Amino acid sequence: MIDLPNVSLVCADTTRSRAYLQNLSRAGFRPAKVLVLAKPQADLPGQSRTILVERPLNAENDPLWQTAHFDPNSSLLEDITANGAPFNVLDLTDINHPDVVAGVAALPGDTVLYSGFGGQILRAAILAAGKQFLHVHGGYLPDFRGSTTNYYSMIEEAAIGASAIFLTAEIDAGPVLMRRRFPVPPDRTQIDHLHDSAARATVLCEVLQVYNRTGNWPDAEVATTETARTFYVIHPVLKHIAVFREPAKRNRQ
Amino acid sequence: MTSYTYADRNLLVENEHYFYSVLQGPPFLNAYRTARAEVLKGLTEGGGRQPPEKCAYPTGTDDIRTADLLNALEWDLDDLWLGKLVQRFEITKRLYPIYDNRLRKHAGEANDVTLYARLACILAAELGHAQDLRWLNTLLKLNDTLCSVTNAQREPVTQMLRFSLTAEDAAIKFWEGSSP
Repeated sequence: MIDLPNVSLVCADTTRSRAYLQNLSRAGFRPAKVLVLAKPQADLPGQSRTILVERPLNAENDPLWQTAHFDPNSSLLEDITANGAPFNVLDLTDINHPDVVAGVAALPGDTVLYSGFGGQILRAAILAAGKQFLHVHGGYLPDFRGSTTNYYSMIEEAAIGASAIFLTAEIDAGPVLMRRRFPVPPDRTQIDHLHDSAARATVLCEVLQVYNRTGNWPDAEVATTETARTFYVIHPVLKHIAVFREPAKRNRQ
Repeated sequence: MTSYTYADRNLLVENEHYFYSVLQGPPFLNAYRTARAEVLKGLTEGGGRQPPEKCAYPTGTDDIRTADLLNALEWDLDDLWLGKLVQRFEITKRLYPIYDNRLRKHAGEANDVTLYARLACILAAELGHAQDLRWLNTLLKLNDTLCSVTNAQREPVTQMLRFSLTAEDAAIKFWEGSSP
C-alpha cells in the first residue's frame, strides 16, 4: 500500500464512496484517515433504496467497468477496513454541520478527497477548515457543469466524463486537475450508480498516481477560451433519450 | 402500463424535483407523447400572446418584478439574465412575482401561470435558433407545470402553451434523431 500522509478522505454511505474506496485499494492508495458521514436509512441523494445490480450488462466489453469495477452493495466500513486506513464515523449527513467542520479540520494533511452526499454545497465554514477539497465532478469540465451532466454529454457527444477539481465557493468552477472522456458504455441503464462512480473513481486514482509520482497535483491546463455551461437535473424525457436512443441515430450529430 | 406521471398532479401545489428519476424503458417516451398530445388537443382558442413591451433590464438595488424581467427578455434577449431566471426556476421549480435585486430572495405567491408560460415561450423561441439542451430541459419542466394545472388556470395562456409544446415536440424529435 502507498500511504498518503497528506491526504484524508471524507466519505458518505453512497455508491460513489464504495467506488472510491474499492478503487483506491485496488490502486494501492491508503489515505491518512477516513471520516465517514453515515446515518442509516437517511435516504439521501446518492444512496440507493434497493439492492443495486452488481455489474452492468455486457461488462466484459465495457472498458470503463473493467478498469474501475466495484461492488455497489458492499459494506462501507468493510471497504474502509480492507483499505486499512484509520477512520472515524459521525452520525451526521450534513457536510456543513459544525461537528463535521470540526472533524474535517482535525483530519491529517492539507487535502481532503471529498465524497459526501449528493447535492450538498460546501459553505464558507467548511471551505475555511484549513483543507483543500479534491472533488471529482461527474462530467467533463468546463463544458458540463452542474447536475446529471453525463446524461447531457451522452446525448450531445456519445460520451461521459469526469473531472477532478479543487472545490471553491462557485459550483464546479475550481481549478481542474484532470479530466477524462469515456465512450458511452454498452449498458447505458446503470449510469447513476455504476458508470458515473466508476468514471469518477478512475480519474481520482489517476490524479493520485500523478501526485504520488511527482509530489504535485496535476493541472489540466484548461484554456481560457473554453466555455462553461451549467446544467440542472435532467428531465426524465431527456434521460430516456440519453439511455434508449439507438446508437446509429446518436452518432448522427 | 407505463404512464407519464410528471404532470399528473398540480405541480404548483405538489412540487416535482426530478432527482434520480426512474428509468422506465422506451414505452415511457410514448406515454409522454400521449400525455402531451392530450393536453394539446384540449387547448381552447384564445389566451393569446401580447406583443412584447420595451423594458430595460434591472440595474439598481430595487426589487425585480418578474413580469418586467420577462418583458426585457422578450424585447431583447440577454443570455445572462435568461440564465439567472432559469436558475431561479430550476432550483425551486417556482417563479415568484418579485425577487430582490440579486434575483435571490423572493416575495409573493408562485401561482401566476402567465410567468411560467412566458418563460416557456422565450425558451421555445430560443430552441428555434439553436438546439440547446439546457433550454430544452427547463422547457420540459415549465411545460410539465403548465400541463399539470387546471383548465381554468391554463385558460389565459393556451396560445402560449400551444407554442411552447410545439417547440418542445420539435426539439425532442431533433434529439431523438427524427426529422424535426
